[in-house]
Amino acid sequence: MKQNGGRETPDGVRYPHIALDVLGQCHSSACVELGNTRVICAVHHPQQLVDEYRGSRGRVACTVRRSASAGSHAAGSAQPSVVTPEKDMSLALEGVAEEVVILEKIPQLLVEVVVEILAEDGGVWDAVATSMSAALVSGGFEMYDLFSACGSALLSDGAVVLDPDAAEESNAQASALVCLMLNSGDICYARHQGSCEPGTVLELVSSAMKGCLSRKSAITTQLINHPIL
Amino acid sequence: MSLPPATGAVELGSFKQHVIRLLTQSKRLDGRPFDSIRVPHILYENRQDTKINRVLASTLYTDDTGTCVNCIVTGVFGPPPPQHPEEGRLTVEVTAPFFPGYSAFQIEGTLHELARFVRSTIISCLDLTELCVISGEACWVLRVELIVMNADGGLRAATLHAAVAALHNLTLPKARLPSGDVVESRCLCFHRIPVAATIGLCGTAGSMQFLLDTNAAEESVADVLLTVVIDETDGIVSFLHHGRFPLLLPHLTDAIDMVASHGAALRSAILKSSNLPQ
Repeated sequence: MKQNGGRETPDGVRYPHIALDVLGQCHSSACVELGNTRVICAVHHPQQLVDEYRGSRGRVACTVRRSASAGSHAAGSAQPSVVTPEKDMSLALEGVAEEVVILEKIPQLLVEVVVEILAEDGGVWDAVATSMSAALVSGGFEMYDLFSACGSALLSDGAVVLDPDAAEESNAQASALVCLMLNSGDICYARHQGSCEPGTVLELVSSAMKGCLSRKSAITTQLINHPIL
Repeated sequence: MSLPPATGAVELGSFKQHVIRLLTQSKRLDGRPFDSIRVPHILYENRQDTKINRVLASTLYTDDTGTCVNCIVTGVFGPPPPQHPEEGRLTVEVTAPFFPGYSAFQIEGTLHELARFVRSTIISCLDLTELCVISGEACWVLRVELIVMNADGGLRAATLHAAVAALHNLTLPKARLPSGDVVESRCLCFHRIPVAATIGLCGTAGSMQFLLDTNAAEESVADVLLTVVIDETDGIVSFLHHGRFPLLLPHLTDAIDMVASHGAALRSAILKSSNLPQ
């Protein structure tokens, strides 16, 4: 049975396409396409932290912005609200970056990361995490590991699908998301939405972890083959 | 009224002195002659799931030195404006998300001014009654979103060209109103196609130097900035001038002639790709 979006099996994932250094005015940048989802991540030149944040560790600040025409539900919004899903995503990404980037190597420096979601068809977290990892790597920041994310969803017919697209995400009974380091397999962020049994939650999380690790060779190959790195 | 240039690790004041020194030697940063333009390239994108995303057109504007503007046009049905019941609605938004956060307040006014400029120029060249579906009840509401990825001067021209490339020959799809009426497919056309260029003037030792299609570094040191918008018959669609001193009439006519000499090249570069599928 063919899934939505043409994937052959429920265990199939969409593989990301990574383009590095797409913006000229930033310290480093990356553009990631995952099916019909497109995300651009930019890392600005590090700047000096102000007095109250002075210490032995640097900081990574993250801003996630969604293009108004990226998703169908966002196009109808009249006014940008203060609390948005992008704000939650940026706070979670800051936590992920604090775990992955060796902040002791950049003391008293603020690294500002801006993510722009240009087109969305599910898998936004996957594309955002992959682009942020690629942008930080190409910017020369020392990191423990690469990181990426993958989602899974429980459809209404009881099937567990990996890497759901926008239609599957909106119709899912429950969904899970896992952001983990690619080599060590440590989980940096995990999220579950919806309602299902505890055993199904474990199945969703383990499926997401498998999907995330299955992208590892695609991500590392594209980063290694880049002429700058 | 320009976004700050990307100086890298060089201080802005030293960068300006370097640019001024080059201009006194009749040189520019990118090695162009004073009267040459950067020819734009338009990339059109055909997304597969247009019906879901309501995206009608998506273009990527680039030129040779790094200005990059993404234009996305979405359309929904809505009520017409009360003062013009027989017209449609067109909104323009300009965002620059990839600039550092400490300059967000500084560039917000520039982006608002850009959006007003692009919208007023498009409205003067596009018949908004073509967007009307039922007079007084329903119309197309087009939303043009311009995302400035890279800015290297000439932002008014770049954003205007990206929006014109996206809106020209735009197909409004066949759709159904909430009342059940079926709206037929329609093609949006400009009755005149505007092209724009920014000209900087530097007054050095009493002589006036014209810089056609300025980049961000030249805009930071220029004394006067002019933006000229013309159509196919070399008619003036819009003209913007701001600077430290007023200009005489021969300077204005020289600036308009300078843009008009490159109007055909600019127009063919903007509309070149859209003619191929037809």
